[in-house]
Amino acid sequence: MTSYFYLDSQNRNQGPVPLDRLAEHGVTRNTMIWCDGMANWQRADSVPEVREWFDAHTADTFTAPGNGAAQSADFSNPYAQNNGAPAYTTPQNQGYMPCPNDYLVWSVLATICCCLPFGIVAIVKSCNVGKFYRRGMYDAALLASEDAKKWCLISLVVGLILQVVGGCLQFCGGLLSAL
Amino acid sequence: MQSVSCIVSHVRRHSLLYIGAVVVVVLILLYAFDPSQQVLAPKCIVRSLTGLSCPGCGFQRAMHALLHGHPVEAVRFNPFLLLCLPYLAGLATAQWVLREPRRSRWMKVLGGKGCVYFYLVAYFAWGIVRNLLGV
Repeated sequence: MTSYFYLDSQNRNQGPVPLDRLAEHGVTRNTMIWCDGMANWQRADSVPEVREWFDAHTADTFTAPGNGAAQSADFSNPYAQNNGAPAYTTPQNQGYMPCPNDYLVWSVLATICCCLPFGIVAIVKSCNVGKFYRRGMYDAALLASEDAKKWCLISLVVGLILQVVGGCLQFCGGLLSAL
Repeated sequence: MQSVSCIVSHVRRHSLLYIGAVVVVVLILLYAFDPSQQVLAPKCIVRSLTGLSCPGCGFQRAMHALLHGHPVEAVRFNPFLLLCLPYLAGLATAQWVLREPRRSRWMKVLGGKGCVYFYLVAYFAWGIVRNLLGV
C-alpha cells in the first residue's frame, strides 16, 4: 500500500503514513499530501487512490471522535492553510520534502539484464538524485529522478525491441537455410 | 479514450504490483526452462553483434542454476553475480523493506558515489577481464 506524507496545520511535513491510516492522523480531503512519484504536493481529494479511499470510508472519517469536525473547519478552504505560509517549493521548505525515488534497483537491473549503455546512464542519474537532494537542490533531484526512470524505461524498451528483431532475423535465417 | 486513461492510471497506481507479477513470472520461466537449451530465450545483443561477452552474459543461465539450488554452478556462469546480487538485495531492502530514517541512511551509502562508481568500474572491468580470459 502506498505511504503518503502530509502537511499538518503548521505546514510541517509529517509521515509517511499508509493510505488506510491517513484519516487517523487527521488528514482530510483538503490536506496537502505527497508520495513517491508525485511531482508536487496535492490536495488529498485530487489524488485518485486517496479520493477512492475517502469515498469508501467517508462515514468512518466523519464519525472519528474529535478530529473530523475540527479538521474540516480548519481546512474548509483548500488554500486557506497556504495563506501567509511560504510556497512548498521555497528553499526553506525543501528540507521537508521527501527524497524522490532514485530507481537505483531498476538501473542496476537494467545494466545486468539489458546489456545496453542506457542502464549506465540510468545509474548515474540515480546517483545524482540523492546527491542533489542532500544539497537541498530539490528540483534538480526531481529532474534526475525522472531522468533515471526514463533511461530505465528506454533501456527496457530498446532491449525488448532488439530481442524481437533479433528473434525475427534468426527465424528468417533459419527459414532461408532450410529452403 | 477514457477507458484507456483509466487503465493507464490504474496500472500507474499499482505499478509495483504489476512489476512484481512480471518479476515472478520471469523467475518461474527461468526456473522451468534452461535458457541454454531454449531457442526462445532472449539472446544477448552485444554477443550476437560482436561475438564478445558482455558483463551480464550468463545471467539467465546463472539464475536458472541458482533457482535449482546450484549456487556454485551459478557463479561459474557469471561470477559478477557475487557482487551484483548482494548489491541488488541491499538496494531492494532499502527501497521496499526499511522505513525512514533507516532507509535514508542505507540509501546514502548504497546510492552514494562510492558504491555506485565501484559498481560501474567493476562492471566494465569484469567485461574486459572475461573477454581477455575467455570466461
